[in-house]
Amino acid sequence: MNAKQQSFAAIAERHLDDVLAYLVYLTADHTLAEDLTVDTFERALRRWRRFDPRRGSARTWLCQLARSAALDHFRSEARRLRREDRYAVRELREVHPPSFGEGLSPELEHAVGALSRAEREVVALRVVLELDGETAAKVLGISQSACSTRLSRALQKLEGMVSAHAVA
Amino acid sequence: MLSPELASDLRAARPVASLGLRERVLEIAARERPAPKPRFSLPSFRRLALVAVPAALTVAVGGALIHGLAGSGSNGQKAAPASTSAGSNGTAVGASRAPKLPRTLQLGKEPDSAVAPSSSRLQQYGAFLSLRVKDLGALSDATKRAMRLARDVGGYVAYVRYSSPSHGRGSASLIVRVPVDRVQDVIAEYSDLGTILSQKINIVDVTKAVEEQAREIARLQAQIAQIEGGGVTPQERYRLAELKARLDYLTKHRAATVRRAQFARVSLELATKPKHRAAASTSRFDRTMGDAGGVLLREAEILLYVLIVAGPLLLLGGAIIAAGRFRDRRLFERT
Repeated sequence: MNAKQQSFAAIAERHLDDVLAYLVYLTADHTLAEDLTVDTFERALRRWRRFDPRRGSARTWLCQLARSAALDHFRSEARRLRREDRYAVRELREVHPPSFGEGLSPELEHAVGALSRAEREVVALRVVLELDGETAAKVLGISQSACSTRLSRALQKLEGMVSAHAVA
Repeated sequence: MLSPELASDLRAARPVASLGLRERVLEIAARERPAPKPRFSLPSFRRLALVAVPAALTVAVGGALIHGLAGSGSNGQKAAPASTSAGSNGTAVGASRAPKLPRTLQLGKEPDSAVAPSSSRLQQYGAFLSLRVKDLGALSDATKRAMRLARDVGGYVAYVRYSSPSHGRGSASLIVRVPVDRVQDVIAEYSDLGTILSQKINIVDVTKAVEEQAREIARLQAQIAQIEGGGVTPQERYRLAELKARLDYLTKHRAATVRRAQFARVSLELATKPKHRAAASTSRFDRTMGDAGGVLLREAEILLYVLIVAGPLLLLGGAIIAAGRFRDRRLFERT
């Protein structure tokens, strides 16, 4: 049974955790990731008729939608921050320490949090969700070699920070 | 590369959706309605391009070939786009346009069909004839004959230009003035000099203008006679000089108008066949290829024009997309 023959509910049920994990890594904010996950599935339902399984799996498609939802959020957030800076009414926001999952060691949590969004999302796609290089590159909208380079840089940073923490 | 332990740690601790989130998402999924059967689905852009580009090329080349085949004819002789038109100015005569005239349908053969000058009215008659002659010898003969004819009917040659540059092509231009009562004969004779390519006749009725000028002259003469009869005072001297100057101008102008109405102006353009027309005896294949090449060239011109017009817009669009991508990259570089 291909993805199109399954119901949307079944697809949502099956890939909900993947989408959430990807968004948690991308945003480094669990609450925001949950909101964006809901937004992603709203978008997915609206576009479900246009989904073509020949062009990629449902998981890839949902990750692309999640990325697009996150990107829209980052843009609006950047606009909001600019606006608030202009009128100097920026409030002190409560900053939650990032959480990338239950049971992650503090040093690994800290190291993942220190990565850039672009690095975290490539780690999420390639390591956590175990997507292959081609699919991950497709989600990110970059070439496969660029994806590999970004992943290699991110993992190097991650290893470096974890081992530095261990030595300390 | 990440150590397997770290990788497995990350996978093991991957975030899992809470019950609340799962319910929210399933609520959304429950809104799914059965999709109607699509009547047709659009193919992907790449597939569309794979079909559309060769199809457009086929249409462009096929169209050019069909045009070439249709236009090449079977005997290698294309009908010359000869036309006769008569236009007018002032008191107009009717205008007519015949797209193709056989050589026999010339004014000289059927004088009644031509626009004849009126014998009872004063009209400035102008005629223009464009003719094609066979070769340089015929061009020279036709030019000499046209000049001689103008003199024979009591007219004169106002202008002549004869040129026979290289590659066997030549042309001549003549402007002759002939008595208006003989213009029909002249046009008929000129029509015999070659194949008519185009013809224009222009008639301006000046009877009313000349009559008005005559009345104005009579009035001026009466005024002058009246002033001179009563003895010219110093105050009237200037006025009298003014009236005489005006009378002189009007008299000359009227005489010139009448003279122009007595002599018709006939312009004659003679040209030998263009080189590619002279080579019309080439094979049909060559002609087809030549015509198809012309159409393809025209299509390329249109494409180039579209690119020139759309180019700045495409560049602007590209710049906007690039700027958007750059901004997105900046957003993703943040921690």
